[in-house]
Amino acid sequence: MSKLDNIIHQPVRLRIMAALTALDPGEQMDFIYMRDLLKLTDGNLGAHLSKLEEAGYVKIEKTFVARKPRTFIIATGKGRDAFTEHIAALKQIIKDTQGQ
Amino acid sequence: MDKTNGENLKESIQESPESAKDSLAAIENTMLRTRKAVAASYSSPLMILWGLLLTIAYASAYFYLKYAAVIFWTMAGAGTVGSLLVWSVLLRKIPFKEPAEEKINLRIWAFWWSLLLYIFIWLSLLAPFNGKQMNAFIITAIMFGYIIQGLWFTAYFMVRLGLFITAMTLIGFYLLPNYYCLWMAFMCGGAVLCTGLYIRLRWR
Repeated sequence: MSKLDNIIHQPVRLRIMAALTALDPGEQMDFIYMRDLLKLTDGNLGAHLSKLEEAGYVKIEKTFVARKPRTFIIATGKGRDAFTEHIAALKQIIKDTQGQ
Repeated sequence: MDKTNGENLKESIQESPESAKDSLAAIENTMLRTRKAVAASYSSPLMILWGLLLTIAYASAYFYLKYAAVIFWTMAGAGTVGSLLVWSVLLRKIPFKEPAEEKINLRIWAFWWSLLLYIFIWLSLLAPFNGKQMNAFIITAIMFGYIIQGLWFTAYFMVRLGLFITAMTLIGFYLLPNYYCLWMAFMCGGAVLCTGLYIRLRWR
């Protein structure tokens, strides 16, 4: 039976994980780009990413591209699994409700 | 995850199954927007470049038919150099980074160069033919590449564009032989250009 994940279920973190898992495994998304895509502030996105990083669901990588500092975020295997399980649990809830 | 927290969370959502539906809708929407953003970042600059070149080349060939070969070779050269330049800029600016070990870029380039090589092989095997036949063959073969790449990356706009231009090429070839180049300027170059612009403006 799939379990809901209370770290992922928070609406902003849910969208962060959705954006990251839409990419191919191993592919990373730029911090600024994610901020604009999800219409968040730097602080808000940073705080939620820290929570996800603490849980081991994302990895944050700071690097230089053409001598400019860039921050990239990637969903870990653990994060992808937790997200898949969370989606399965949500679908199960809807299915159970419809069955009642 | 703490099991009790998970169960409490599940109970609260079960009280309001609408929130489960809302969550799934938010997930689907975000994933779709992300996939479109990836497509926009990678494809739209190249589609705009090639769309412009194709439109100019076909329109020029319609008015100066005897220079068609020179026009299309010039377009192919300009397109190749332009694509390399655009790609080198994209690699620095693109908001996504793929894992080094995947080498997706290399696989895309390998795919397109292989297709081009085979086009030349088939052309030498099929010769002789007239300029219009050669042009229609090259365009439909490249659109075949679009369809394959679209299926490969689940970028269905490429599949739709590939099918549309293939159909338009056949219509121009069989039904409008005297206006083929002008037809293709609008239906091939124009379609690639408009798709590139649409993706750039709406999907980013």
